[in-house]
Amino acid sequence: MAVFRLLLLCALFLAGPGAVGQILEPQVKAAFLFRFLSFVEWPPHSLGAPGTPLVIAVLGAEDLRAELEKIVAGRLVNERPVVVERVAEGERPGRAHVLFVGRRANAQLRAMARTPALLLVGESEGALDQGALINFVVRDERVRFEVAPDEAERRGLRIGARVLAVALQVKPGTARP
Amino acid sequence: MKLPAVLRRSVRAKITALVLTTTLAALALTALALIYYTMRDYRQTHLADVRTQAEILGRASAAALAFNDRKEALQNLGVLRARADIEQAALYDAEGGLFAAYGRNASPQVPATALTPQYRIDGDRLKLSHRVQEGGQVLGTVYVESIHRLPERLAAYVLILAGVMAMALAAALVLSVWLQRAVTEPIVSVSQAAHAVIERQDFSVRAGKTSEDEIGALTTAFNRMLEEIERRTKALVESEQRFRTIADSAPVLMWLNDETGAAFVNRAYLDFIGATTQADLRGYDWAKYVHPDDRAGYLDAWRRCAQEGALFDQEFRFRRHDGTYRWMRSVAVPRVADEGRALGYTGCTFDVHDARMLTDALHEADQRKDEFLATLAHELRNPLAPIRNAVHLMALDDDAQRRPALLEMLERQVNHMVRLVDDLMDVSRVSRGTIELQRERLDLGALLRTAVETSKPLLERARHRLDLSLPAQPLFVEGDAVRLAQVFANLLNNAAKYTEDGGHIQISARREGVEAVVSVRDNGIGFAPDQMPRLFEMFSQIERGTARAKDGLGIGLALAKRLVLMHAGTVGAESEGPGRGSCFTVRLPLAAQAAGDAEAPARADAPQDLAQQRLLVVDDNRDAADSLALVLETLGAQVEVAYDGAAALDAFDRFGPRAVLLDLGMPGMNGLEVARRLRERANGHAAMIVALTGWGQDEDRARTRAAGFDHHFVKPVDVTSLQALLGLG
Repeated sequence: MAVFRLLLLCALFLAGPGAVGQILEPQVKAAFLFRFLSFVEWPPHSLGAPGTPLVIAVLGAEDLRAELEKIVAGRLVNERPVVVERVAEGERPGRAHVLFVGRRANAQLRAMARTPALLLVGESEGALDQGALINFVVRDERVRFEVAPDEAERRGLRIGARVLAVALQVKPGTARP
Repeated sequence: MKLPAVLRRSVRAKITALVLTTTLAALALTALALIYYTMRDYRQTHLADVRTQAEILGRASAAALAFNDRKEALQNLGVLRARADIEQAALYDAEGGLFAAYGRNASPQVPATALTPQYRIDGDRLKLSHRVQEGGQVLGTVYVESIHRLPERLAAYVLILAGVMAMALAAALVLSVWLQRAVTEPIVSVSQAAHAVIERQDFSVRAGKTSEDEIGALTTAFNRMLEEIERRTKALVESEQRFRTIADSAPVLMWLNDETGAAFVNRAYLDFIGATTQADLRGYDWAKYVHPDDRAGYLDAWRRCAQEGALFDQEFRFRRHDGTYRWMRSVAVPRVADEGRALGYTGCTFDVHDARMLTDALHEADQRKDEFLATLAHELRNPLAPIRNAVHLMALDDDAQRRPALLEMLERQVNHMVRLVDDLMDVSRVSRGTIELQRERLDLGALLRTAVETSKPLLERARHRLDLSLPAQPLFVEGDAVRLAQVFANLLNNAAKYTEDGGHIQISARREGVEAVVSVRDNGIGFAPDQMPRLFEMFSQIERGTARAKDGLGIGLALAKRLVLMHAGTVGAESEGPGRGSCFTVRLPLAAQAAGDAEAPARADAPQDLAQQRLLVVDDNRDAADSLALVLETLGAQVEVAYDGAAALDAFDRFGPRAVLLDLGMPGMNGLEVARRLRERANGHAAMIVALTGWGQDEDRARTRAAGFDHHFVKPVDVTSLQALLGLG
C-alpha cells in the first residue's frame, strides 16, 4: 500500500504544481515533517535512551496528522521509531520532539514558543515571528518553508546547513523578545 | 622439437636466440604485470574517486531531495562542471523518479528511473549509482557517469611498454653479441680446428686458446687430443710403412684374407699375378690360378683347415702372370679376433719350383742309381761265376789240353770286368769333369776301323752283319783317340745289344759342311719318341727287351754323349718307333785342313825291344804285387818284388831297376815317401817311377808328380798300356 501511495505521490508531483492544491498540501507537509527528523539535531538528553521513539505532535491539523501517521508507520529515523501524537487545543505536548501547529490553531504558537528542544513548526504567514522555528509556506503552488536557525539554536536545536540551503527564507538572528 | 636450420648450425645464433627469448619473456611478463596492476589501480582509484564524488553530491543534495527542491538539486549538480571527466549525472527521488539531471556537453541522457546502487563499466563510461540517505531514511539516488579512460590509458601504456621492450631487446642484442664473443670465439676456434682436421687430415692444426673457463679447458683437452692423435698417426704411418716395406721387399708372396677374399697382398704377390695395385684385386679369385690338377685337393685342404682353424701348409702349382705354373708352398695361420671369432688367414706362399724340380730330379736320379747299383752288382757278379769255375777246374784238373780254353775264358771274363770298371771310372770322371782330352789330329776312318775291331767279338757272337762305309778322303778331327774310340765302341755295343741276334748294323762316316758325321744304324728294337730325352741320361736303360740287353750298366750312351760334347760335337738319336730300329748320329767339327801332311805323329817313346829290363814292383798287397810281377816276367822282364817301403829301398839299391812300379797306399812308409827317398839317391834320377793307385783324381796326379813320379796308373793296371810304356814285348 505504501508503495502504491508513494507512486501515486510521485505521479501527482509530476502532474505539475497546479495539481498540488489543497488536496496534497497536508500530505507534502506531513512528509516534510517526517524528514525534518533527519536534518535536525536534538540535544542528547531530550532524545533519551537509544530506541526511544521520536515524537511528532500535531495540533489543529487532523488531515495532516492522519497522513503523518501513515508515513511514520513502521519506519525508523536514526534507529528510533517515530510516534505521532495528537495535541488538543490548549494542551501542551508532553515529551514531543516536533510540534506542528496547524493554521487553525495558530494562536497556540506563542504559548508553545520558547519550549526547549521542541521543533515548533507552523504553516501561517509570520509564524516564525510568533515563535515557530520552521514555517511552511506555499509558493508558486509548491510547499516551501522558512527557517529560523538562530532561534532554534537558542532552544537547543541545530538545523543543518543543507536545510537552510533549500529553505525559502532564513530568518536572521532575531532580537530577543 | 626441431630447431630452425640456422639455430642448429651456429652456437652464436643459439645464444642470441636464447638471450632475446628470455629477455622478451621477462619483459613481456613484467609489462603484463605492470599493465594489469596499473589498470586495476587506475580503475579502483577512478571508481573510488567517482564514488566519493557521488557521495558528496548525494550528501549535498540530500536536503534538496528531502524537501523536493529541484533548483537546489540542479545547482548541486552544476558543481560537477569542475570535473572534466564527469559527462553526466542525475538525482532521483526516494521513489526512483528522475529528480534532476546534468549533462556536461549536451542534454543529459540519463536513465529514466533510479538504478540499484552499483557501478558498471560500459565502454569508456563508468556508471555509478549511489543511494542518498539521511538518518537512515532513503532520500533518493545519485547517478554519475564518468569517462573511464582505461582503453586510452591501456593503449598508451602498451605503446610505452612496447617502446621500452624494443629498446631493451636492442640493448640485450647488442650486449649479448658483445658478451657472447667471450663464449663463442673459443668454440668457433675449436670448431674451425676440428673442420680443418677433418677436411685436410692435418693433425698439426691447433685451436687458439682464448679463455680460462671450461671452454678453455675444452680447448686444451682438444689440442692435447690432437697432439696425441698426431703422434699416434705418425707412429702408425711409420709402423705401417715399416711393415709394408718388409712385406713388399720380401721375395715371398704374402697375403691376408677375410671371408670376402683377399684383403691384402704384398708386392711380390702383385708381381706374381701381374697386378699393379691392390685395387686390381677386385674380383680376383685365386682359386682359378691354381693348377687344375691341384685345385680340388688344395681347396679341400683349405676348407678343412678353415673349419678347424688349423695351420695350413700345402704345395701346389700356381699360375704366374706369364701363364707358366710354378710349384709353390703356402703356409698360413688363422687370424682370430679377441673374442675367438675367425677372421680369415694370413700366409706366405713361396716359390719351391726349383727345389721341387731338383728334388724330383734327385729322386729320379736316386732311383736310377739304385737300379744302376743293382745292375752293377749283377754285372760284376756275372763274370765271377765262370772265373770261379775255371779256377776250380784248374785247381782240380791237370789236363793241359783244356787249359788254353779255360785261360781264354778267364781272360774274356776278366776283360769284361775291367771294361765295366773302366766304364765306371770314366763315368765318375766325366761326372766330375776331370777327364783331360789328349787332343791330336785323327782320321775318323782309322778310328772307326779300330772301334769295329774292338767290338768285333760282341758282334760276331750275336751274328750281326756289319757294314762300314767310309769316304775315300780321310776325315780329320781334333780329338782324343782313346775317347773317341770309346764313343763309337759304345754306340756299336749299344746297337749290338738292342738288336736281335743276326741283325744288321751299318756304320757310315761322311762330310757335311764343316762337320764330320758318323751314324750307327741298326734294325733293332728302336724306341718310342717319348723315350728320346732319357736315352742319353746316366743309368737309364730301355725296358729290357732282350736277354743281352741286361748286359751293361746303362751308362754307355751317357758317356758317349758327354765325350762328344767335350769334343764340341753333338750326338742325336732317331727311331721310327719301337721295333723299327734306330739311328745314332755323331757330329764332330772337322779339323783345319792345313796340317794335313803326316798321318799320325810318331810316338814319343816308341816301343823298344827292352826285354830283360830290370823292374821293381812294390805293393803291400802280395797277391797284387806277385801277379803283376808274374805278368811282367811273362812279358820278358826281370822283376824284383818288395812288400813295403823299406824293402823297396833296399831292393832298389841292390837291384838297380830301370823302372819302379810303386803302390801308394802302404802301411809305414807310403809310396810318396818312397818315391821322394828314391829321388834323393845318386842313381835315383835315372829310374822311371810309376805310381799304381786306386786314386785317379787330378790332385792325386799332382801329388804323385810333386813326389817325383813319372807316371800315374790307376788300378787295375791295363797291362797293354804298361807294356807300351815300358816298351816290353
